[in-house]
Parts: sequence; C-alpha cells; structure tokens
Amino acid sequence: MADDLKYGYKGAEPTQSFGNNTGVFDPNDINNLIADNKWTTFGQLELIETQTSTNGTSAFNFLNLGSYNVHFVTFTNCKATSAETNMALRFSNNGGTSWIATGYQFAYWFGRNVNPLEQKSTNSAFLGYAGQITSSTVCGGYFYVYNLLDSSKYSFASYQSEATSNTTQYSFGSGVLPTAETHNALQVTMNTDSLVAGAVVSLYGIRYS
Amino acid sequence: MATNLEFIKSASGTSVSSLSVTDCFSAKYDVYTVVGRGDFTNTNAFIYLRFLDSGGSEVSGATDYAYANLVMESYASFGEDRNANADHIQRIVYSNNGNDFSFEINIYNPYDSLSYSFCQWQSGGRSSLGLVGMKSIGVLKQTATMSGIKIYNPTFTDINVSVYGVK
Repeated sequence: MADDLKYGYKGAEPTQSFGNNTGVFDPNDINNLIADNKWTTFGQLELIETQTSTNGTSAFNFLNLGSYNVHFVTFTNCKATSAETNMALRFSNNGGTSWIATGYQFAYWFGRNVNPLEQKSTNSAFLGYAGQITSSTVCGGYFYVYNLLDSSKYSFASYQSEATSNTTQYSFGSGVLPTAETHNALQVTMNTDSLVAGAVVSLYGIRYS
Repeated sequence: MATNLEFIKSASGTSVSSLSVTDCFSAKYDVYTVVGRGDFTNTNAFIYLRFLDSGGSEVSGATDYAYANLVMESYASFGEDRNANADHIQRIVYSNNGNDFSFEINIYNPYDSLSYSFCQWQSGGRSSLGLVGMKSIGVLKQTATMSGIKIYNPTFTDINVSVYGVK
C-alpha cells in the first residue's frame, strides 16, 4: 500500500499495538506488524518444539529458545528404562555445547501416601526434581522457566508433576541457577537412567511476558 | 477458536513501590494466568497482592483476604504462613536485597459478582542463603466484580507483569 495511504489512512497513520489495530491492512502490513509484536492474534502460548523419546533417551535438548522471557515446558508419558529416576532441567550458556552441572538451588515437596517429604539443595547438579519415575511409573508435569535469555537476571523455574504406580505421587517446587547470564539452551533430563520410547516433551514460549 | 493463553495486558516499572494492572479482568474469561519477574532492593521483604474493584480502587478491608503459604527454602526446613483474616494476600514472593524473583498466579472468578476471587500461585525468590519457593492459595472474600490487581510492598528495582486469559 502506498505510504500516503498507510493502513488506509491519508496523512497521519494510526498507532498500532496488540489489541488495538486500526485501519485497512494488506498482507505486508500484517507481516510487518506480526514481526513487531503489534498485530492482534490470540494464542500467546506458542509452541517452539516438541521432542519424543526413543528407547534409551536420557535428555531432550532444546537449542532454539526463541525470544521469550518466560518459557513453559510440558512432559508427558515419561517412563524409566530400568531404575528409579527424576525429571529435571539443566541450562547451557554456550548454545548446548555443554550443560551447566553445578550450582542449582531447589526446594520441592514430594507428596505420596507413605512418607511424604520435603527435598532441597543449595548446590545441585540439576534443577528439579520434578517427577519421580520408575520402569512401572508414568509421569507427567510442567515447568515454568523464567529469564533464560536475560543476561541481567537469575534463571528461575517452578514446576509441578504427577506420577502413577501403585499409588499416586505428586511434586511441586521451585529452583534457580543464581548466575546472572544468558542461558541460550535448555535441557530436560533426568538424574540417572533413561526413558523408554513414547515420552513427549514440548517447549513453549509465552509471548508478551 | 483459540484454546490457549490470550494476552490481555502487561505492566512494568522501575524504582517503584507498587505496580497496578488495571482493567485486565472482563466477562470474556473466568480464569487468568499472571506471570511476573523482576528484582527488588529491600532486605527480607515479601510481595503482597490486592485486588482492584470495579472502580479501580484497592480492596483493603481488614478481614477481606485469607491466604496460606508453604514456604520452601533450599537451605532450611519448610515452613507455613497463613492468615484467615487479612487486608492483603501475602508472600507472592519472598526475596532479599538485590535478588531476582519470578512468579505465576492463577486467578479464578475475579469478574464474577456472585463468586469470591480465588488465586493460587507458585514463585521463586532468593535470600542470602539460597532459594525461597512458595506454593500458595489465597482468596478475596467478597462477591463482587474485580477489575485488576496491585502488586506491592518492596521497592522494585524493576518489575514486569503480564496477564493472560485462559481459553
């Protein structure tokens, strides 16, 4: 559209923002406004990537985090190959070339009908644990993850999960890697063992967060 | 039809002692998700929350709110903090001087004039000793339409809050 008829207006053009798009738009206008985060389209939980385990998968590496301040991770149908293990996160500051394996702090509640307990660490190799699983236990849950791409802030996560075996178990908690730096890759992993085929892990970005 | 989080509004501030997100609730949604992150300067401080009524005024009666927190510290035994009659909802976050924080809050029925406004949240902050996580519930014991929220108490170096409708 000619510049003197931007958005169908002659002269001063209307200011565009999410929830407030005014005028007549051609495809280029819409593409440009989407690129500038100014086009109204609902659905701000935006899927970045989904990965599915094969037999023996021990980690899901997400190397593309988009440009979000808050991420959301779901994990479903997670079942251990042989041993008891726990779902957890690790971050990378070099694009996934290596994964930070020290310094995580966490606190979570592990609920079960026998011996429920609190778990904590001020210097762990993992951020978690979210969801305890065995070869006879199926687990699912989620993480909210904050500030990964913000070099001035610590990277936090909060999480919740549920697992079923002979009884139902649940856990919820929070964690942090108290280092203010950019974490540009995210790993969903477990502290030991691996998963059987069929576990699904999805990474979302929450736009405008 | 979208089945997702639908962005409604965000607010941010630097060097402020409170942040209000006004006119973010409507009849379009029953459930809302709020995500926030930031940093504050006070020593050993909590973030509080109050609702804003349909005129935008703070709801602050002495017994209007009730809350219960499980305080999960990475360096000490877990604790509890609760109050059945308070003038605010407490401990959205606990954090200490110069430490960052994050939180997500789910809010139920704030615009429904026939229901109480409930919320549940999880958060992470830091003391000088380590992580402090919260797993919590709260309620505004009024059957009235609410239009927004106010986050307050410490002096925020910076704070960003976004509100989404849950479809």
